[in-house]
Amino acid sequence: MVEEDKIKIEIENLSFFYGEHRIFHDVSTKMMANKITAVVGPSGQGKSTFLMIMNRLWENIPQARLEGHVHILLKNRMTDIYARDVSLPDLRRSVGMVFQKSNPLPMSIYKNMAFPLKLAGIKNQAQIEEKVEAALRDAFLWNEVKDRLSHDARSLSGGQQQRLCIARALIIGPELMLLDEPTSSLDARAAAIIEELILLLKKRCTVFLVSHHMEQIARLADTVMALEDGKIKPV
Amino acid sequence: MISRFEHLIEKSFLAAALWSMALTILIFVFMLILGLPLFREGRFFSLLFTPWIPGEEQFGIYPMIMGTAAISVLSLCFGAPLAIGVSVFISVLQPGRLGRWLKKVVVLMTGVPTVVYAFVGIFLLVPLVQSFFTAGSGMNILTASLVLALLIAPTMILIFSGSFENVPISYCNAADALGSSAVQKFVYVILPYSWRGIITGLILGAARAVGDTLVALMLAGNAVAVPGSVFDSARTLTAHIALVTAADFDSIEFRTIFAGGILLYLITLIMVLTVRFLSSLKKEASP
Amino acid sequence: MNRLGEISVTFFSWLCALSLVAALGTVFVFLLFKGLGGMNLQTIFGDTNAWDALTLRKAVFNGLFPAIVGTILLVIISVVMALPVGLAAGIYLAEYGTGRAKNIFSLSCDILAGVPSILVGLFGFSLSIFLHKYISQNIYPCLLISAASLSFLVLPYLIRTTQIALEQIPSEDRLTALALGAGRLQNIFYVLIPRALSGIVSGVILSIGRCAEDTAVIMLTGVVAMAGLPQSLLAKYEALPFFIYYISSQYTDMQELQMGYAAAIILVGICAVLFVAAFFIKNRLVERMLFRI
Repeated sequence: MVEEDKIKIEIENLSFFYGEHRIFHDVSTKMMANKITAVVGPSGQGKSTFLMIMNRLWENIPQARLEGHVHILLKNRMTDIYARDVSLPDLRRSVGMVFQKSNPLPMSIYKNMAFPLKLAGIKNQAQIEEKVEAALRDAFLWNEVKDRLSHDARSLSGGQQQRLCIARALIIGPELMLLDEPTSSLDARAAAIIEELILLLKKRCTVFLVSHHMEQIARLADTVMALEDGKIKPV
Repeated sequence: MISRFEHLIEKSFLAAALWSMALTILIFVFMLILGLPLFREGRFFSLLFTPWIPGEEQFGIYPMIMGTAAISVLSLCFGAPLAIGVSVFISVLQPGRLGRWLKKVVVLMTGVPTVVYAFVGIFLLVPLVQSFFTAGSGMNILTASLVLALLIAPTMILIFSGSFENVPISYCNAADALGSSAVQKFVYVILPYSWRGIITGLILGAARAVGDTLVALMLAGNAVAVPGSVFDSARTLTAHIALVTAADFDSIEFRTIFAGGILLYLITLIMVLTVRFLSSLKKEASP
Repeated sequence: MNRLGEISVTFFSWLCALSLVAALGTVFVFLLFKGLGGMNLQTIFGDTNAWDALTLRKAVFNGLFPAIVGTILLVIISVVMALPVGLAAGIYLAEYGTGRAKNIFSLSCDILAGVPSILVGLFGFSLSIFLHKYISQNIYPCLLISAASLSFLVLPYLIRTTQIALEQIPSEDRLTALALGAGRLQNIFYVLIPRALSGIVSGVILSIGRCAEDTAVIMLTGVVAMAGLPQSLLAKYEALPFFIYYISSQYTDMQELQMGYAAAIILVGICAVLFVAAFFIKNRLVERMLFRI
């Protein structure tokens, strides 16, 4: 099917620097749409940075610099995400991110979920409630929290918090999801639930995953890349 | 195990700490003792509400209390928004090179002597106010408050900035990754988290405004009437103390400045205790 | 929050930043514009020859020299008085203080730091009256009383910066010498204080700046407009900040006013130098210490 062969991310001649220290050396690669692509490699080589390049979150870090081109297929157009006219908030609504350690905001579960919608300017309460429920269901979390939506999100267990963060990232309907070692701080049972979730994700978006666990990668990934010495090699 | 000499040194550390605490108390006690005649005749509280007319044997400090209140409040009205605006600039909108540079400028501002600000105020701002508002000599509450605002702003800016930057980075990352703009992040995430720091900054700014002497002394006119508008000349408790100390020591007139001193000390005490209380409030559990 | 709200916040923030810089810039430019012309030997030494003045052979009557000397002496004496106490108290709070006691000391430090400077001046004045009555009729508000009062003023800053500098030493470094058999005091003097030195020194320098610029305290404790060089510790003296205050309302001609501007520039210059020095010492000393270790 033509759908499955679409390129989602195209990276050309990417080099990245923290001050004088070069992290990526002239990296070029492609990632396909609606597939789960995993990046593996030794610790501290820049896997998390590689993810942040897709949503430009690294720009908060002083002394960081990027050279090269990154194009992502968004709303059916190949977009240079580093072009001058790109709005960062808009980019991040199309490219969602889940962090290694879950980061619920200090508010209720409901408010956490509604937050990205509020940021996007959606005001209709009924619409928000609908989307919150749908996203929580998609993250296998609805049944566990439906009676305590007004409770503080930090009262949830680690695994539940992470699913909340995934749901929160999904609610705005991103086309690309960046997952930075999403299960590394969780026990096996919680991790298994999230792995199931990730597998289902690829139906609606493209997934870019960083992980340490080779078995997890074997279970989930369609394509695997190794990041070593600042270069990417397919595995 | 440890020699007598070392024991002596350790005791001297304690002595130093005790001395500094004693000093804090002594300052207050001296004012109480020297102001004792006022209490004996039960005049202390009446002094707080009566005007200062030496010719009629009236030595109330009420006009000065109003003067301090007016100038402090007005300077906060000018200074606090300014401080918030600048700290939002430094910590939220432009945390890069521009913000870092501005922060250095703000730190530099804290080193400029108060008397210099006041001096420039006299020769630059007073004529401006005088011609712009054509009201009296130009030395009034407004002029003093404007300069005082500039004086207290840097302290508030540094405290506000500090608390904005203390928001856990996981919250900021979450907001950014979900598509928040810088202002949205400030309003929805940073501000709710730093309310304690903001109130602390405001209180410390107020404390500085209340405790300042030179700006009010040189720019507010020092009239002893209760001010009726911002264009009136006024005298603060601090300026009053500076002006009256030259008087005859044993007179009641002189003793009344201790009433003002006691009041100022108590105000400071309350502010410090409030700030302490605020920081002791249980912080929300960090992620 | 809609677009308009966001734009307003951004606009307001930029406006504040620009206003602040503009205000500061105006102050400096105005000062330099009015005062640079007066920055010459005559402003400082008046009609007296510079060399004669510096070697104390002749007195300076209409120059800033006595005020400059007064400020310098004041600063030196007050820091010398405050430093041992501040250092010792800071060491106590950082190394020996526990729980409740530490809390109370810390609170009193905060109060002392927050007390308006005019009240510290009032205290100094009251002290001089007390000494005058009960110790010696010769004691009036003077250089010594001012210096003592200033030392009270900066004491909380010294205590706090010493305490913080010591407390910031990571726990591993605290324990190293102890594990090798050092006593508590030895640890403090041979290891901890050198490590905390840059923080302590920058605290000292900032206290120096505070002493140099303060006007309210010295107004009540002995500074005058015309005294020449202080004859002794118990004598009256002149100081730059007070001169600036005095001349602002008492100037009789443009030349005197220009002296005021010049004095302001000199005072700002002194404070700026101290500030920058504190900044550099805070960073340089740290590097040098690390290299030695």
